[in-house]
Amino acid sequence: MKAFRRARGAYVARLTDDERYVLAAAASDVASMLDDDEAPATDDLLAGLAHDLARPTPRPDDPAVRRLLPDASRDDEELAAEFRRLTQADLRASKSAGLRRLAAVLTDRPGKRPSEVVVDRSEARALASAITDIRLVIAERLEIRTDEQAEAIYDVDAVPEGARQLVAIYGALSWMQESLVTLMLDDARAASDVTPPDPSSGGPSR
Amino acid sequence: MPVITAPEETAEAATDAAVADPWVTIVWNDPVNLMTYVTYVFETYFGHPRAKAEKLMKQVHQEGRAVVSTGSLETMEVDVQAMHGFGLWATLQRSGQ
Repeated sequence: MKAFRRARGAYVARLTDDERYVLAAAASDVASMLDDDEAPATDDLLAGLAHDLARPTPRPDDPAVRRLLPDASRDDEELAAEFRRLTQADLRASKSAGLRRLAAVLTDRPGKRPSEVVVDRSEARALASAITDIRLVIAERLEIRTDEQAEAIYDVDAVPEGARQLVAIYGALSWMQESLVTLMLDDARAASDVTPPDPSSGGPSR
Repeated sequence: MPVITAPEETAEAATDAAVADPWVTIVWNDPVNLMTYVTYVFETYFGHPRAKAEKLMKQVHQEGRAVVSTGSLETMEVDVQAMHGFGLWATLQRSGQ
């Protein structure tokens, strides 16, 4: 795996085939968790819609899904429930779409080299968010609750055998995300840094 | 024709008018989100200058939480939804609580 760099107006990383498929599968899995957790659809669209509008939106049962769709209030259950009713379906759909797009980008081969993963700048924010969602779900599965625990997972001897692949995926995603977001942040700063030219100066040579 | 509002809504509106920014959005620390990413969100979503975004990010990391925006309940709901979209752990609450 090689970190993201700028190339041809996009952000480009290089991954092995194994890395691509493992990370794409993780993205699809989290998208499916979000979709599966959703209430079953009804055949009658209007009846379903009326029902959806009237009833409260339930808090997800799975703690990992709940980490993606958290309570919006710590002490006001009514406010948190109202927030879920207003936003949860949209958040669920946008997260699921971002994760599926990430899975597609990880398996596409549009670059000159077959190892290249190409992230268009217009999609970078949505894909960085999708990487976060996978990391949040893995962290919940690994029971990472504190900054110290987040560091400790890289201690190979301390990690149980069965959790090692999850830790490897988590580490790869963290590293990928850091390299991608560093470029995105630099570019955002460069774009907002365009100060108007000083009219008293002699010209563009300054 | 006058618009009839429920009594509690009138009370709410009066309270809102009395306080300039009655609600706040709080972002909480978590062990997953990278400092670069949190700074990116604060700079690009809220439009905070670099120094303010980095200060808020450090506050979240070191103190466990930071107020990242203030305004009406409706505006804070938009901000909290955006933060959840980014995967940041955000809540809203009344200002001063």
